[in-house]
Amino acid sequence: MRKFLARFRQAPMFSTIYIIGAALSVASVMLVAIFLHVKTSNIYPEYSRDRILYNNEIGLDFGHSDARITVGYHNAYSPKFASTIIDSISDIANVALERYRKSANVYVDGKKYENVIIRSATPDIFSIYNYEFIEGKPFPDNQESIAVISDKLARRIFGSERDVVGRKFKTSVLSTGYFGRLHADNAEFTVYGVFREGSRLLPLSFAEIIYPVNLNLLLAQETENNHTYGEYDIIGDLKMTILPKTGVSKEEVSSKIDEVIARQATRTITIQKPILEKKDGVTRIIGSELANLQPGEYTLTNGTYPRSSLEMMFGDQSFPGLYAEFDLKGFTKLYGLLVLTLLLVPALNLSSLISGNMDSKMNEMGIRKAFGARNSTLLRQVINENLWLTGCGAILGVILAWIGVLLWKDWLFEGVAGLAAGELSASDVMLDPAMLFAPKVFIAAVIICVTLNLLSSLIPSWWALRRPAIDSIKSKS
Amino acid sequence: MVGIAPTGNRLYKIKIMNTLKSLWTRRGQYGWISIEIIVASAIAFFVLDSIVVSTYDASRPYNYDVDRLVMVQVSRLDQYHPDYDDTRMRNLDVIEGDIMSIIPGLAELPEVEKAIPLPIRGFGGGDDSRDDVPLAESLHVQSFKATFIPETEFFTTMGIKAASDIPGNPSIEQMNDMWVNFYDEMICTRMEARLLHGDEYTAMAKSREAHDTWHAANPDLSNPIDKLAIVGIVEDIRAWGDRPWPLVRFYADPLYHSLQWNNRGVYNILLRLKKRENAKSFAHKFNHDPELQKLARSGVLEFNNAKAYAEFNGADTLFSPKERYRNLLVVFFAINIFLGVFGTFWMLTRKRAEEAGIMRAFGATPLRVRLMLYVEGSMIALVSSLTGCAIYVYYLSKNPDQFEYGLSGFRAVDMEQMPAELHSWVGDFWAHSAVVSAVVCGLMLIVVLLGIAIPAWKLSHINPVEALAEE
Repeated sequence: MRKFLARFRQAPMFSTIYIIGAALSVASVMLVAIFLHVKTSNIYPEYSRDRILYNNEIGLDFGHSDARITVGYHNAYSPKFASTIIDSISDIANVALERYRKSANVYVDGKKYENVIIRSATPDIFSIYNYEFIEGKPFPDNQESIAVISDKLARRIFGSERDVVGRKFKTSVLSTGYFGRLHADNAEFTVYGVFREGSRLLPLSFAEIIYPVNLNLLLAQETENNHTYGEYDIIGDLKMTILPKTGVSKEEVSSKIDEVIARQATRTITIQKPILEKKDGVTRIIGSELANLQPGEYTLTNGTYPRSSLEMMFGDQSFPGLYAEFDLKGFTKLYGLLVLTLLLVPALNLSSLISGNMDSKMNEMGIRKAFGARNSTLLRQVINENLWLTGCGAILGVILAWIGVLLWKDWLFEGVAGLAAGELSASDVMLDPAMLFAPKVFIAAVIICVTLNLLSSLIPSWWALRRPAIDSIKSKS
Repeated sequence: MVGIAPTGNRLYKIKIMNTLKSLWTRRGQYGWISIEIIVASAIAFFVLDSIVVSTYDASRPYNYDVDRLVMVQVSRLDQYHPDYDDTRMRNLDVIEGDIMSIIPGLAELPEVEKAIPLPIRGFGGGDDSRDDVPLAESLHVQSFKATFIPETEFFTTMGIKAASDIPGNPSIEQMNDMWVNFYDEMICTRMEARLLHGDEYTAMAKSREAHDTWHAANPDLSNPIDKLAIVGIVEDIRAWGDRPWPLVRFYADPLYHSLQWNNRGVYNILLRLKKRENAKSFAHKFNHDPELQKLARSGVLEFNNAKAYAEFNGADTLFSPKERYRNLLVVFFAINIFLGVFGTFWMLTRKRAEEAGIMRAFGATPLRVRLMLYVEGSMIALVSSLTGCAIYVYYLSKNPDQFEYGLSGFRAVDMEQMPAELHSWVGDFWAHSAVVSAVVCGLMLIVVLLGIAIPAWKLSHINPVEALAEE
């Protein structure tokens, strides 16, 4: 430490520039590390994020005599089909059914609160996502008109997150369709529990209100011929969130789901089939009618589902359809190259500084070599001295990375939440301490520091020490 | 090694050979900086390529009054609103009436010159309607498909101009009121008329003939998109921020029909502001003034949002999150190179004190001493950055799918097949590479010169007596 301080006082400008250069490199790599950590690590409430699977869509396709047209439905699951799948994998996984989340308006005592994220799910969601309850508890099965809300929403609409269980609020979600169609999804809820809100940076689990999906009721409604998409036995609006039990792999779950789908495809189904008219070489859809499709006349597939959380977060966001694929190789290559670039360019920078600084040390090195010091000893000394500087740079870099993340979190993480520019505000981005202070992040910082030091100091030092001792002594400092 | 020969006159002779010798002597330190600039330049080319192309595309004029336009959006009431009426909410006649009753109130605002309703598609909807127009066998180009509501002064409100030099072309006021049939007709831009029919002056007649001939032979079928009769030609405009080519075609879409196909529940009213009014400020004011928002309340509709049209159509959103990350990378490289150059040259000031002292003793001015370093730095920057760019261009020549033609939807087009009117440097590999290389080299040069500035100043103000005495 004393030697380091002496060296610092000897060449303050060199040391300062070196530390800043190292700090920039470490800060930038740390930002990438924090970004990846937020996108991939097990963070509240997704403590099992590395194991959770998502089975969101089923594709029902059938061809036409005019082979140019294939018609199909790619959508979520019907209650009946979803139940069949749950029954087949319930021994190896916990499965929750969810609907796609929406943005709703909330009303309390006549006051309107906009853009509240609301989702509905079966109670198994609480065994998959580990929401921590401040008050109340998760809702039970097959209930209506109750909901659990986040602590932040409770403070916003009731003024406090305590003593709100039992209070009521209303929600309104308006969906519009063609020809003036309007679907008003309005409800009144009683608060059943208050949970600690997660971060919007985890869009798969983020919600401010969660209310129950009443599966029994949905199944009962289906038997009353409630056709939504024309094939009520298969297509619907329910997606599956799956947590395999310990020791069960994704492949096992996937193959069981495939078996259910294959069995389903052996049935005759009833669908709303388009009516086509072919005239003068041009085919048009002119209407639709109920029709039966025999096995072989249609295909049923879940594409690249079920997908892991990583595939959902990094999959093809430009076309997140049934067959969207996640290119793990490409992803690894991209981020690997990025980190290499963020280390290599500053390392070259620092090497140039070290190379220049070595000139001033050649006298000293020459004398020590004349007294029998080996190149390896001198090399180790240079590396150790620079390691102190790199270490200071690393500490500064980590601090800069944290400051950068806190100051510009909305700007930095817009891409994470899959939002367009300007949609995420700074207050929306709650950074859990686990995101910044995770052991992984510190270990990454240490590895970066050592790598940077080696990259930057090894070659110029080795090159300088190749000179004979007498030349080193004669060289001007 | 003196790079600059002192002369009696004010012209400075820079001896290139001496500069090169000086660079060679210090190759140990300069070598690292050069390698850093080479690597950074190659990566900067990749990063800046899309930014340069986007900037170029976005900088091209829209040719309508985009800076004077504000989009006010209204939507249906919530169920819990005291005035909610489920029957009226689903009645398109009611919605149409409410939109039309909102407009006069907005038009009377002191800042507003004109207010009109807009349909959902094209200019009103923010969506990406296009026609694939065949120019030749297997050669298609995309034309932006826009609708307008007739008899609402759409074209004059937007500031679009008629091509008045074309014989028989209606005036823009006449085009405002034309009920352009979606299946048979269109109003298009000058360039599209020229591309489809050889020249814009005879395009209307030719298109009518082609339309009538095809229709006579195929009475039961709709006209294909290249057999539409051109009923009006406007001066070239660019529709959205991400449309580089002025290919736009307009069809009439009455408000009621547009409402039938509106599944978003948001209805657009376009305001044309008076001259010297600022669209962004006005939109900001509208979004925060409850009294103004009341003007957009009528029947089953209420105020939803106000936005400057430039923000609405993507003119402002040059930088998506992905492009921001790329920008950050360029800034990162620039700072690193600056630090490296600064540090290297700073350490050299001590070693070159004697050299500078001798120069000053022989009458060189401080400017000459600084120029010596600037010339050295410039040579390092230019040679290294050109090398880095050359490496990346070579890579691109072997991997043409990485080439940034600019903007989705146009990327895969083989520019050599396209008509000359649509050519620009963006689509020409070597011109494109030269432009981006110039940007990269310019950036590196600026960063290096900035890094040298302080060490050069310090060296140039060295006291020659002290410098020589120390040595």
